[in-house]
Amino acid sequence: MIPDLRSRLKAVAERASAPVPRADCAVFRLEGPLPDGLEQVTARDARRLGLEAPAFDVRRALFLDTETTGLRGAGTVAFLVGMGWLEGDRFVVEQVLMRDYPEETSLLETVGARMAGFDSVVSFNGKSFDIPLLRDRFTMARLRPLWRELPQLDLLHAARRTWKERLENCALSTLEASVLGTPRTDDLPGALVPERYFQFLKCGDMALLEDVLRHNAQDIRSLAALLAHMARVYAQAEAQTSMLDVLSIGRALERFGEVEAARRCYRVVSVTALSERARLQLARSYRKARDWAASADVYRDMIDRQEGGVDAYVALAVLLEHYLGDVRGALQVTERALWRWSGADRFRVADGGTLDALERRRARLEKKLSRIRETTTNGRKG
Amino acid sequence: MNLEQLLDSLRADAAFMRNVTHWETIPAQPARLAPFPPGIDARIPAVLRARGVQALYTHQREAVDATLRGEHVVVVTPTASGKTLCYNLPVLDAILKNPDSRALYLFPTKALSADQAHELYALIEAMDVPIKAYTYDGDTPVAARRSIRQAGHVVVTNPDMLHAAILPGHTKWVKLFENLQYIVIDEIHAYRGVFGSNLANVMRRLKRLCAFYGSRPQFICCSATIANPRELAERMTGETMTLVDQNGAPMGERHVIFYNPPVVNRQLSIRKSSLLETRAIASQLVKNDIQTIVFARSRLQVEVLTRYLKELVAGPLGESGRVRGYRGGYLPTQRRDIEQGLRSGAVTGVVATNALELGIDIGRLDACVLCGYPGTIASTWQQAGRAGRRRGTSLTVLVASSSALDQYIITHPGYFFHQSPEHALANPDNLYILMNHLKCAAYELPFLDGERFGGEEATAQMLGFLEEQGFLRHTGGRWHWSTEEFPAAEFSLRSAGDENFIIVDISDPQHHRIIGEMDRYTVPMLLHEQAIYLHDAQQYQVETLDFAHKKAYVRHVDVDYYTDADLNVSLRVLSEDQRRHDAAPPRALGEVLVTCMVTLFKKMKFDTHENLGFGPVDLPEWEMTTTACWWTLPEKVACEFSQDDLQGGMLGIAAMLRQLAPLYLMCAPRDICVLYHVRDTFTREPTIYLYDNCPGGVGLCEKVYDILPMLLDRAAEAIAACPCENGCPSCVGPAAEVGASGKQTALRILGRLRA
Repeated sequence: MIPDLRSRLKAVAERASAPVPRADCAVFRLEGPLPDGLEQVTARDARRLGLEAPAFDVRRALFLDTETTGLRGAGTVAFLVGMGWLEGDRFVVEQVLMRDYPEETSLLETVGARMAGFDSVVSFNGKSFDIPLLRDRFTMARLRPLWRELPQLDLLHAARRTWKERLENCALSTLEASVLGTPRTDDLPGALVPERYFQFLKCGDMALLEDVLRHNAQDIRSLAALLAHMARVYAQAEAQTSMLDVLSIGRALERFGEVEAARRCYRVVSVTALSERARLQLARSYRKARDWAASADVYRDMIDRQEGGVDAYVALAVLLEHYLGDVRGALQVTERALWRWSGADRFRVADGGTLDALERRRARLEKKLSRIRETTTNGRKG
Repeated sequence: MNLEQLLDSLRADAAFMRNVTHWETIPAQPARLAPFPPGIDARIPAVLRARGVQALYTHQREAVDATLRGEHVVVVTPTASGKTLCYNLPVLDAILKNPDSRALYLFPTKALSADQAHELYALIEAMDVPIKAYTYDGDTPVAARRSIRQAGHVVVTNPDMLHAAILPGHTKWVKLFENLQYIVIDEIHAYRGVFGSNLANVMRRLKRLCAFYGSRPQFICCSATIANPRELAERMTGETMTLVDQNGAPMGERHVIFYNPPVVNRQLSIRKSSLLETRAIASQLVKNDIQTIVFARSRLQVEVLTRYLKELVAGPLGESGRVRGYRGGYLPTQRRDIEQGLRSGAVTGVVATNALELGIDIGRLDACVLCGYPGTIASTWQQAGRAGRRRGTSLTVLVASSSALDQYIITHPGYFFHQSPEHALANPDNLYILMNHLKCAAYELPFLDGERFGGEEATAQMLGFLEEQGFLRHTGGRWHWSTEEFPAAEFSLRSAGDENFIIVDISDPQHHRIIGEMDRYTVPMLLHEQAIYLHDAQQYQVETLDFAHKKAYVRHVDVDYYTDADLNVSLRVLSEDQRRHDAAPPRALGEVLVTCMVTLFKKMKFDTHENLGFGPVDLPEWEMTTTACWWTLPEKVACEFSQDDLQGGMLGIAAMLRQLAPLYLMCAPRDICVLYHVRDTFTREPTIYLYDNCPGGVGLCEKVYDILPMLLDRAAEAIAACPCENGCPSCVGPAAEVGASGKQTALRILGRLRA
């Protein structure tokens, strides 16, 4: 028996019996019209945007965003949790606020009970921030039994896949301005939120939180609008005006298994200034699908159009030699590549090793070819 | 010659023996064995037997028994006596019996955790059981971290990682905290001073979280030989410990030789350089292919000695890989390589700083040469422990420098061999350190009213102060963290010395190469512009020192000198917290601001060590707030002496104290500093200051404040007893520095101070 176990046990018992201070948190409810097209969002749309679950019912989806006192670790608290959902023909936003620390338990219970009524969570960066943070808060408040993991649709990830190349960043405010066409005015910058809350704690003046509440409610509505918008964008991928977007959407579609839709995007882009990148994607998508001939055709097109540099020749030669059994064709492509790239354009080949590899490939192909010729000649003789 | 033959020839060598002040022969000790304890999982003894371990040593058995009885244990083990089994055995047994059970291993350095974890992995692999042990430190890939948090049975880490990542993110480690059964603190003697004070508080935080998650872990600590292992472990863990200190591991015969370099100038009492004597002794050993480790006191000494020994073994093509340098600034891969070479025998000689003092596994060597007394009995034994095989003879030679401490030790071998080794001091309740951790603890989990942090009675008061400062909010009987700050990022457990600079070799303009790192405090001394930086005996000259980006750019050079920088220290009193006016001498304790600056450097010629000239150093100064104890020479006494005499006398007293105080404070010489002002702006009288050499202080000066009269008496005795005429390096310093009457003045001042 540990000598001081008694005193220890006593201390532990005292700690456990300390009353958990609690008070009821504040709950605000706002209603507004349904964002255009939100009701029409399907499970297929959600999967295209990265939902890792087969089923999705937009009426059973909870839009969630938290306001916190910091960025990481056990000392960070989510003091405001905004949640939105469809209710009849209205979009409801419920905001749960703890006006001081003793209200946290009540806040978490409210959030936990609300989440229990839904099947998935739609968020903006929730996968790596809001959800783990809430989970941690449930742990620290000893409320883990109330916590349920729901399938997540994180629109930040989806937005990055779609617009990363065109927009300077994918912050929600940027998307509102550049994608949704509803720029925010006199909004409170997110970085100032914690300081505002600490100020409020000191003086209790609710006016200090008005901006924060408005900011959070706006975030929730934007989330809903963004989901509806992105679902439309993905449904009419080829109709987008920016070819960069079409290309990006194509890649996202391919990633989530919609290969045909993706190829349609690549083909649309392949007749524009982004032809080279689109064709490369197309060729790779065929290759991945083990459609060697189609892939080889795309590479041939690229070589004819002088796209893809030396790599296109190499890729085509590999396909011909190893997958299509066309040794003669492979040799021709290799020779063309060497002829094309070892002269004045040599400096354009970034990696000197590529040319050496081509030389080795030619030697190997020649040997192979002469062996084949021998066999055929012998065969004829026999 | 083998080692026995070499020892015989040394004994017969009159010139050598003339300088030997003591030759201690420690007889061989046979192994004392005990069977495996009954009741442990049968797979463990089976796998150990397969690896040649038929039974435990008695100390291992004792430690395991105590652990299985549920006690917290501290095991004192000499180098390489099988200590890892003392904790691996109960930990593996617990996990085999309950797969939910978890253990946390703490090692003071990353290098150590890599080494020790290796042994655990090997055991697990040999048993072929699904136990997962992982190293979790700054090098762990982010992708691997999640599975370690979830599934790691044994998490191997260091205090810094625990402090800055695991504790503040404890909600990600629920499995570990809920099931934590054992906390292993290896090399606990390394947690002295600031580092120790910090670790004790990290443990308070850890235990607080364990209580929250409902676990009550047991501690298993391992320590090298120090005077107070149990006290230190209890201080670190806050638990009552069971001490296991009867070593059962076998040991071959050991010889310890005290060697005092001959006097070359009797009048000035100047001895031959310990560096050159070490070189001569180490050369003999290495030439005879006796695996030898040489411990030097500074990085500079390491590089100079490495260069000498490399020249000695260099082959016809200049290859000299049989001798290697090894110190903190080397990159981990380079260190691994050297360690491997030592184990395989490809390396015959290693020159090291005390970076190797900690238990990095390099196998056991035949001989050990200490260039200068390491400063404490404990670290001397630890360094000497590098030499010594289970069978066969080993040798340790201590070569004294001319410092007073070295001279005292080398001429009083009885003190060394009979005195207990030093106490490891740490002060977890140091207010500066405590407040930092209180913040972290509040961040990790709100404090409850009435809760005490580490038993500190003033916890509520301190929390109140933090509330005033805007860190906490007190409401509903709890103290909540209420700022955006992340307190664990605000300070390091090892003081600012850990902010490393990177050393970049720009000799090849196409290929800049990082060759090493250096801590922030050493940088101004060794990496100022134009400095000759020695790295693995290659010379580099510093071209640019980019202080802002913590980078030094160096270029390969070949010159016949090295550089040595002068450190300029100034001190200002910030507050006087305690004062004894009526005592003799009147003294005070308070907070001071110390400012250090390197202003110039000397160029020193290799071999002769003569001064070839000076150069300026233009670097920002650095500051530290710490605790100091000071005492003055009252005006009526001071007026008895001329200004020059006062200057020389106080310099002499400072020199003596610098060397004597560590013996009574049980600390390393570098832990304290002594400074004097003939005219002091604060006290307006001649003043001597003694301060803790680390930010915030660790309580050494508080002790000086109490024992000052005794300390001054001992200083007077030591000066009076020194046989030199007008001062020498062993007492007040050479007459050339303190003046012809410096020694007498110092004695008179000490007399007046005690009157």
